[in-house]
Amino acid sequence: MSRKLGLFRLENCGYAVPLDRILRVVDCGFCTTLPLISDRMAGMLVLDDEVIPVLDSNWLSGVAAGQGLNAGFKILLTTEVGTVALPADMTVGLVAENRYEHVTSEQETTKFFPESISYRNNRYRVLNVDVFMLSLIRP
Amino acid sequence: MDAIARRLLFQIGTVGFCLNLGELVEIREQITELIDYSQVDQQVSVVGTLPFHQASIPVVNLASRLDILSVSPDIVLVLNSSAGNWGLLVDHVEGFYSATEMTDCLVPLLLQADGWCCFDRIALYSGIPFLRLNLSDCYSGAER
Repeated sequence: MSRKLGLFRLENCGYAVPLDRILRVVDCGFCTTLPLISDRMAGMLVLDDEVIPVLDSNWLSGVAAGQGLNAGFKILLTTEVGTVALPADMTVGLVAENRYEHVTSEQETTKFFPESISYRNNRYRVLNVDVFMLSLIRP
Repeated sequence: MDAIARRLLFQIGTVGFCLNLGELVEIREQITELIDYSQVDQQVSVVGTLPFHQASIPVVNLASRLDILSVSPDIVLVLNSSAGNWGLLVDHVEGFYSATEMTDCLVPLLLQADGWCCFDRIALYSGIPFLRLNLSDCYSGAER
């Protein structure tokens, strides 16, 4: 079965998340701050009596900190540490593997983003959810 | 009525907190001019003392320790602990609510503080989060 990716944009950066990790996309331009959280977190979102951590925007290299709180969309992911929300300004859509092109270059490869794709002339870095979440627990 | 079954909801800055009603002695409002700011102990966030029933109790301002913007808190919650009565400066009191109307959950791992903290649970009331204060972590009195 071909892999499908959810494509999103935050500021001027595009990122992609494997569809099997996406629980829900919430149209919600706010979240609640919490004292003493790490500078990689923006706050929390309460949905259906569940407290969901929301990442700040600086997890995506090239995007300044502080955009996570008010980003218009929250992408809810299933992870080993429970549900986690990523901020996004725009949802681009879902794409199947045969609709995008692999364009990974050595310079932009990181352990969080091992590959990049191109879809309709825009680049999206594909997030390795497990490796990234592990880095948040054990920085 | 069982006092433990009710909770006080309040705000420091714009952050919501809650505590069990059994931990509350009294609410004092418009106290800014009554506080004696000469007795400060920054290490335990004591900003002064407040006259209280022929005694004087320490007043704790958690805002700076929690990195919360609190411009001019003017309410003191007088609380009891093993160290005696002490006051907590807050900005706004929401009111008293039944604990049965709230859902409690742990602070998610990714939102837990690395070092000192004074809450480990979140009470959800109508979907709005209120941090449950552990009073013994806020002020023990032992350091004074």
